[in-house]
Amino acid sequence: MANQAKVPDYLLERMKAGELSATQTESLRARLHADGEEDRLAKLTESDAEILAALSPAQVAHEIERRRARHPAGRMRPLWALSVATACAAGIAILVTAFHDRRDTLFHPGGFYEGIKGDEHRAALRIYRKAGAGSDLLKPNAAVQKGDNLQIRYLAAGKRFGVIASIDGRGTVTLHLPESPGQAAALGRDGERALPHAYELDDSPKFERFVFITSDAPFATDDVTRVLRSGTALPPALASFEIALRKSP
Amino acid sequence: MAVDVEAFYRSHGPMVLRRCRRLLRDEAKAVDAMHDVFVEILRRKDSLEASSPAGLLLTTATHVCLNRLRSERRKPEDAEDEMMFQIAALEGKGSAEEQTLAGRILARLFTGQPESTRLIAVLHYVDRLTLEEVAAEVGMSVSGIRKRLRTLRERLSAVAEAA
Repeated sequence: MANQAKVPDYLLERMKAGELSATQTESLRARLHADGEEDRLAKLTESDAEILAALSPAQVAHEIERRRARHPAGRMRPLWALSVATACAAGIAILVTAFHDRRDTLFHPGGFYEGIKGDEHRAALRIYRKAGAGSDLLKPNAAVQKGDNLQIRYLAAGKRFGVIASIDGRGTVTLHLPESPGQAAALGRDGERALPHAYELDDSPKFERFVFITSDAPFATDDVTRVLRSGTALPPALASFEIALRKSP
Repeated sequence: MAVDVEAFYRSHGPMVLRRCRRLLRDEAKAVDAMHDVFVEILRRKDSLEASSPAGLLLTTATHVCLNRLRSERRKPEDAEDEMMFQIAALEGKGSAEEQTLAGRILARLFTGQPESTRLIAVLHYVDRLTLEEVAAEVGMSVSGIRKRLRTLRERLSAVAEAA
């Protein structure tokens, strides 16, 4: 036992999922104990919570369904072709956007870069980081750090009411619009609207996920903060746009 | 079989993302690959046997990541990363195994056909599973695994020399 290597993450995941036999599970538990690494399972559970907070089930399911709709079953391309096509598409998107006016870029609601196709019919968030006299538009998963000043802007796309909030790597939820709990804010309905105050990032680790929840009918900010804290689904009447940023040390 | 995608992700998504992070070493690429893993699985949901979804997802994630790495041009970060690149570079497009991979890669997971050598190599050389553990994972004999890896080592050497 003492000469065995540490329990591979792969097997630990399978064990956590309950897919190993009782004998295998018992053996791995003994190895974890011998290595003084019994806390690795608990750390996986913590990691689960962090990932689900950063990439919400609703957000990911939306993106998965979008990809499935784009390439339905039965017309599946070979995986190697998918890789090449993805790489080409990404390259083209980068090249095009490098020369394109920033106003025409939009992020997909799932938090993924959508290229140059704007969608004026969908409410969206844009987050800029103050840089000298100007500011940079941040892409989803962009690296940010403590002290960065973020300017949040939204596009209401005709929606009447909205809440903008964020959740950080510690699970702390912050309201940005409105800034105090109560009813959702009445949205400016034309063009890109900036929130009155910039938001300075603190030292919370891992990520900061921003959500923009909209509706044509009034709703409470609690409807949003509760969902952010619990990871449960939004009420069907509410639409969401999300963008997550990575915190670097 | 109807699949609640949100619930499926909630129960298994973090595991898939951790797998993709480990193999790709890049957060944005890992998140992107994770979505494709679920897409591939859900495309075959009608033939999905739900007895071990975690194993299926991990296996699929490994294949998806290997295919991503094949087109990567970055410098490997360490020996394990280098091994992943070498394994990913194996089985060129024209080979019989790659044709299988391209056309039916995941179908094999559902029909119990032999697993690809690339997966076996990742499990042993990158994940550090023992031969016995790899054999149990892919449903082959230890001697069969040993034979596959022996052949693979020769091919890995050739890849390393050609690089």
